[in-house]
Amino acid sequence: MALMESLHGRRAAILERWLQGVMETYPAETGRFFTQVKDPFANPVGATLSRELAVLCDGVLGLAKPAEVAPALESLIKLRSVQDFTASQVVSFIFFLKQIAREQAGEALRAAPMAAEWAAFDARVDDLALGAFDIYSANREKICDIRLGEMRRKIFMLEKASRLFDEDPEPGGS
Amino acid sequence: MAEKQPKPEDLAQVDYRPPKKGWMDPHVDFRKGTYCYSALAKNIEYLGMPNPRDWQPFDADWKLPPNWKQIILDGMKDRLEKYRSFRLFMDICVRCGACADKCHFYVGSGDPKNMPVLRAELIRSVYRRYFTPAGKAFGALAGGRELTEDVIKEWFYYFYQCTECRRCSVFCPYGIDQAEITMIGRELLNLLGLNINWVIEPAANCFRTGNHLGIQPHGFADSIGFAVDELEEITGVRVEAPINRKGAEVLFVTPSADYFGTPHYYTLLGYLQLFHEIGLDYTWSAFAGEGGNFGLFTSHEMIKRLNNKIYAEAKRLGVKWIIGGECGHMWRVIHQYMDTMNGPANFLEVPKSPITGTVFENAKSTKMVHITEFTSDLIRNGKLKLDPTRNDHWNVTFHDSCNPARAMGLFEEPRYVIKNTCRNFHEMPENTIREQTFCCGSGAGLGTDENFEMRMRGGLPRANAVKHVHETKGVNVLSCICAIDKANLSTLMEYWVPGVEVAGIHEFVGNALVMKGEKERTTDLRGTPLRGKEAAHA
Repeated sequence: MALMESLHGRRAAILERWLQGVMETYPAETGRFFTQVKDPFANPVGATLSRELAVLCDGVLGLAKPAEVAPALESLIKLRSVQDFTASQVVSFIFFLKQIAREQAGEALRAAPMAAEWAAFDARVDDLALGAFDIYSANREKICDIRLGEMRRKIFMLEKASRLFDEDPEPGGS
Repeated sequence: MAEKQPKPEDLAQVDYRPPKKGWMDPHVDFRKGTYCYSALAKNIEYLGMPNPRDWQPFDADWKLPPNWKQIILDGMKDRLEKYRSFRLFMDICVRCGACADKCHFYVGSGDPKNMPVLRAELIRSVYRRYFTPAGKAFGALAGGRELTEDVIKEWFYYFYQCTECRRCSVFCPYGIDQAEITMIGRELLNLLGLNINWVIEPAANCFRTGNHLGIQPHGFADSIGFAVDELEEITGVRVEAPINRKGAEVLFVTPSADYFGTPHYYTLLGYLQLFHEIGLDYTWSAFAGEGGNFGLFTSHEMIKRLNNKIYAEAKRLGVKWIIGGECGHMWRVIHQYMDTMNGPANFLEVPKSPITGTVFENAKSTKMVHITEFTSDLIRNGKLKLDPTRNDHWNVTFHDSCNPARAMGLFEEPRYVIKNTCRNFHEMPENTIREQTFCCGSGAGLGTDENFEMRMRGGLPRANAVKHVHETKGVNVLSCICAIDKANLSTLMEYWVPGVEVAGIHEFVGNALVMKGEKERTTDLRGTPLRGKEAAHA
């Protein structure tokens, strides 16, 4: 409990470091744009990252409910699922939290007696990462479905016409 | 000596930050999902274009002609002399950065080479090296780059990541038009046989049959006939849809997707209803059965070749003027190129609506009127009986398609038609509509299945604005006047904003139009029960 209470006090610093770490997964010139342009319509990626990371940070720190965390995770992973990342890079940013929390916690809290509390904290981060991986997989499957649907829309008239023939077979036909 | 093996503790040290590299480094990774497949040799051959062969962007060897470098430099020289705009755009940029964050691909992907200024630098650096005294003398110091095969591959990657939407040019204080730089970049690539199939196959089909899909005249007639039959089932009214009828007053030209794909098909039904109801003396053409012109994504010569059929058919059929349907880039060609390339069409008359008497002065030269101009004039003059409650199940927003918006300034007419046919309409945020509209991410031939991830990145800014009105205003349909939009926005919505459909504006017209002799309408054109008519339909 002591650990979590201490981390609650460092929430703003943890979030700032985390956001910075995530921005560094993009090219340097772009990280600046994603951070500095505040209009969510001119900069949807930056706006999504800063908005949803705050919710996820609260989720790990036990300050947000799971019902709030799930859509934020969905939104963030949906974005990274189609950006220029491998599967591990998509979810990697979640693990940054382990190191950031340790940096922010201070010397005393990093001492051996806190091992059990750190294990519990790490488990919360791992849970988030596992959830992220599920969302990533679901997104990739969804992409396959969407691509199939798109192909079908392009030949809509052919399908429509062939269904007509199915419903109205020639006399004597099987 | 064996390769150095990392120790386990080294393996745990993963740096997730991308490696630092300068923009002058041309190397590109062709990752699946971010590029389009190459054009098939048979299609390049059909169009008589250079270097037909089998190759793919992910191959190490692109099978370039031996003198490829000279071909490119000669091609650049030729175009620098021919197009003053190209030379100006090569010389004039001061790298102010106004365009940098305006490209939807940059906004969605974060790849710096998708900043319009950098995309232009890819070709500008070669221009400096080979065509300016400073670049010839000082090379990289003067911002010049050697022309290498890697540069060619980089051009291919990034010039087929530009949808020629021209949003960046709205913000450029010098008016540099990145679309024209991309067009020249693609022309140069075409000289080496570097093109994508999704552009070249429709162009070849168009050259052969008059439409992108390669549908022959009897297939065209079948599709239109099918729509006429279905419309009769929905409305109880049998409409006429004359094809290749000589002596009609008006020729109607629309993209082929309207009579083959969905949701385009419902727009087609709307056109058919409208023309019947007002008694327009018009004809379709099975040979000019395509408004789209993929020449715009290939070369200026190809634009001219593919556009020629519209005036040729107008002349053959002896019509007086032309109406064009809901298409995007078709209107850039008509508005900015057709008149000088294939006009002046002096054999046609200045368009005058036979229903309202309105003379379309804006189309005095091209003789071609946009369907939303035509329909909004009918509405304004009270010539249509409309029941907007039939669209009450739709809560509408409007996506300004890039070309009608930025290439011809068509902002008000589509909105006027929507507001007269629908009762629920909400605009997206100001910096995402009208001349600042965000591209769907699939224009200029990039709407391929294999390019899916890149399209989702490029379409994010548009989808994000739709999501906003979906969540705050309950919008459930995104309307537009472009065939590529209709195809791609449907896909984009499925990924980014599930629950939002896509529709053409004349679908709303078709739903709302009260036709003489119609039966009681219980469904819309899609077969969805109308509000309050669910029981009747069941």
